[in-house]
Amino acid sequence: MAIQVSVNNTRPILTVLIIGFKMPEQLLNTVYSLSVNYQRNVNESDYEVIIVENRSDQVLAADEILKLKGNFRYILRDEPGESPAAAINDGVRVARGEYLCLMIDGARIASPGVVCTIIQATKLCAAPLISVPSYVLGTLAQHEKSGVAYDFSTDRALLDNADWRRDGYQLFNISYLCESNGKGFFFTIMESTCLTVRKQTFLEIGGADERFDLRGGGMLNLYLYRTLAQRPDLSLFLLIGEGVFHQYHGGATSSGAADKPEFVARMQAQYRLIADEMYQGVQREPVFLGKLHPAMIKFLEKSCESGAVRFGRYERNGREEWPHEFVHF
Amino acid sequence: MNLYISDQPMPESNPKLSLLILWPEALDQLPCSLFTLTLPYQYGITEADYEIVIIGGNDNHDLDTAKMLALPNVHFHKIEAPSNWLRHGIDAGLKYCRGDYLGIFAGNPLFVTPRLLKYSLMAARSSDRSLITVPDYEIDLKESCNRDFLNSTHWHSSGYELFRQAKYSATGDSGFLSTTKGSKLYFCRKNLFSQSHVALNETEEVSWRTLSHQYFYQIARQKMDEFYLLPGEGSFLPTLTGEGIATNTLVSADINARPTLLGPVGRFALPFLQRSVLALQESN
Repeated sequence: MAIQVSVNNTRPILTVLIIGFKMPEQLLNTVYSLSVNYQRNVNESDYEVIIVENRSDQVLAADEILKLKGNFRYILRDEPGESPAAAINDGVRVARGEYLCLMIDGARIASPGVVCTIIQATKLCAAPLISVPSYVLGTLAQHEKSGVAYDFSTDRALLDNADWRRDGYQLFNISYLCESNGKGFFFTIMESTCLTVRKQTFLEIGGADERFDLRGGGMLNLYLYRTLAQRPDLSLFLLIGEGVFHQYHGGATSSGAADKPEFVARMQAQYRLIADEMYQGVQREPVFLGKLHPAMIKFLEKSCESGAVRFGRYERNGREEWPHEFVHF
Repeated sequence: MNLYISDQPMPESNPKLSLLILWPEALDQLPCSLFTLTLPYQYGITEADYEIVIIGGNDNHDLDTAKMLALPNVHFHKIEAPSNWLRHGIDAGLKYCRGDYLGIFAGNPLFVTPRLLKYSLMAARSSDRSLITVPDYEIDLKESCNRDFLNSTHWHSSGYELFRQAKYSATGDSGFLSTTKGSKLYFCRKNLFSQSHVALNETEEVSWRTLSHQYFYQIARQKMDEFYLLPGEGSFLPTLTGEGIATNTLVSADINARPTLLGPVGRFALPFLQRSVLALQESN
C-alpha cells in the first residue's frame, strides 16, 4: 500500500525517512511533528517525509496524513523478519532528496526547528553528518523505578499537558536526555536516532546492513552512526537547540522487558560478528549549530557542568578530548 | 591622500572573506595580531579562502612583519592623509578588499583563536545576509603573568590557551548569550560595511576607540537573515585595566534576536559558555 500526498516535481533538499512498526499513535505524533503545520521556517517544497511501515495488526491510520500539510509518502510493506533494515533500504530507494535524514525509530517527536536547522547545516559544508540530540519523555526516575507502570498512557498524559502541538519546544520541559548521550553535549556521541547525510553518502556505506536482523534492528543504528562518524570527509554537526523525543512504545530496548539483558547480549554478539569489533563511540568533536530555546537551557547548563568535569579529567591525564577528530579543509 | 600600492600581485580569483586591518602606526606592533590571522595558526582553511588587506600609515617594519607581508594572501597598502586618516583608510580598504564578506580590525591589536576564520567562512556560506560575531575578551596587561604569557611563544601552537588569561570585555560582562550590545570583531557582507560607512560619514565622526561598535550599531539595524555567534572562538584585546571601552560610552546595538550558535566549544572556552548560560538563566 502506498499513499502519496502533495508530492511536487521539484527535488527537495531533504528526505526525512521514518520507519514504523506497531506504534500507530506514536508514529502519527512523529509524522505530525514533521509536517509543515508544525515545523518552522520551512516550505513544503524544501523537504519530503517518507514513512515506511512494516505491516502489523496495529498500523498507522494513513488517512490522517492527508489532513497534514507537507510532502508525504506512506509505504506499508510486508516484512518477514523483525528488523527495520529492509524498510530503510526501501525508503532510501524512493527518496528524492539530496540529503537523507534517517529516523529509524518512528516514535520520536521532533522539535519545531529540526528540519530548518538540518537544511541550514547542509549549506555550511559540502559533506555534513548531522545529529539531533535524543531525549526521552518522562523522567529517568519514572523509567528506572521498578514496579512503576510506565506506558504510552503516561506519555500521552504528559504530551496533552505540554500542549506540544502548539509549541514543540515545551517537550524539553517534560523530558530527559537519552541515556546513550545522557551526560550531555561535551561527551562522545554514542548514537544518533535522527541522523542526516547526503543520500549518496548513505549509499556509499551500503545502506542499512540487512544482516542486522534482530528485533528493532539490534545495533544497526549504532553501526550506521559509527560507520559514518569514522569517515574523515564528513563534518559532524550536533543541533544542540533541537531534539527528538522518544515516546514509549514497548520498543526493543526501551520497554523494560524481562528478557532485556539477554536481548542486549544478543545484539552485542551480532554487532561483534558483523563489525568484527566491540562497539565503541567515535570521539569526535561536534560542531554545535542552532538557536537555544529557553526551555532547553537547563540541558546546556548540565552539559557544561559535566563537560567541565570531563575536560578537567582529560587535562590532568594529559589526554586529548577528541582523539578521533579530523581537520577538515 | 596619497596611496601607495604594494608590489604583491593580486590572485586572480576573489576570496570569500577579506580581513581589513587599519594600522596607522609603525607596523612592528602588528606581528602578533597578524600572526593569529595567518596560516598555519589558523587551520581548517586555505590561503585561497581569505585575504588580509592592511592599510598602513607607516611601513617601518621588522623582519617578522615583512615575512607575513610576503604571504600570498596578505596585501599591504600605504596611505598618507594629513587629516581623517581613519576615514581615508576605510575608504581605501573598502576599495581594495575583494571578498564578499568583510571583517575590520581597526587600531586594536586583537588576537584571535585558531578556528575563527574557519567557522566565520562556514557561517558566511549559509546566507547572503548573515552577521557573524565572536565574543570579545580582554587580557589584563597589569597582570605580569598575562604579559609573560603573551610574550612567550607557547600559545602560538595552542591559541585556545588565550582563554586562560582572559576575562569578558566590558561589553560582554553578562555573557555572550544575553542581549548583544556590541562586538569588536564581526563579519558581514562588504556592501553592508560600505552602506554603514556612508551613513557614518554623513552623521558623525568616526573614532578609533569606538569604530567597531559604531559600525556594528549601523549594521545591526539592518535586517539580517541570520545572526551567528561563534561560542568557542574569541577575540582578545590586551589592555590595561580601565582602558577598555566602557559600555555606557557606546550606542548600544541591543540585538535581541536569538543568535545561532556555530562551532565547537573546547575546554578553554567552556568556562565562558558556562557562565554565559548561567547569566542567561538568571536573566530569564
